[in-house]
Amino acid sequence: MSKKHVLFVCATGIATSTVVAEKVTQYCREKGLEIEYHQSNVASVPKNCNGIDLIISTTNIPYELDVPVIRGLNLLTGIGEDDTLKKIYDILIK
Amino acid sequence: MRGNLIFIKDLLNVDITARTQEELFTILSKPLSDNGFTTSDYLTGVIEREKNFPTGLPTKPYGVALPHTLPKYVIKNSISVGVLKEPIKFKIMGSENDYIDAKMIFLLALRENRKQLWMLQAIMNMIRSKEILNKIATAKKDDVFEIINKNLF
Repeated sequence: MSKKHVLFVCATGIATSTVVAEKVTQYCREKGLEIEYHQSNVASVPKNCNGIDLIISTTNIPYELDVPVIRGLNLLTGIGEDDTLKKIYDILIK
Repeated sequence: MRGNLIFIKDLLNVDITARTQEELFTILSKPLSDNGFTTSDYLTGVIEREKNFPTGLPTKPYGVALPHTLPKYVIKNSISVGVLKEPIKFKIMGSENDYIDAKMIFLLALRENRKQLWMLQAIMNMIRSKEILNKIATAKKDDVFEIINKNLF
């Protein structure tokens, strides 16, 4: 399977998105799925989503996009984390 | 102190009474500016940013919030922690209209976010634990200080 491109988004594109990105990357790697991760602040999402398979965001994304968006909140709080990780994986292997 | 992050007893407030986020941010940011860790407009920066990018987290059994603002308002990497007597409402991070009752506040003052990620990760690990949140919510100031120190550094 070709590498999947995931765009991680938070207000700055630096802080919470990195915490979430590390979690998702590790989970996918354990399942044998390599992802290439990109980061963006929420304002730059429209120009950064070319070639992206999935967006995972800790901020609200106020745009209509062709790319699926998953909220990353559970990956910060740990509540419902497993379900969210599984959902992410399922979208990526489609 | 690790990675030049300052957390001293001045930066811990328990039994806080505040009715609004502004009151709360005023209390928590005061020791940061009094100690010269942030600029005088840090408080305004935090209030503004929380409006645009809310930081409430629906953790159990108590909600938590991680307010912060841009590095330009920060002089030294530091963190001011508050435990409220009565929780106040924070909008959930990334949501449009969902709120949580936040009982514990970790007010972050970070100069270079990227280098301070270990700290964010340490906070995330800490607030996943019901046991730790319960302790922080009910313990005396000195004990809360110890718990946070132990888990953060």
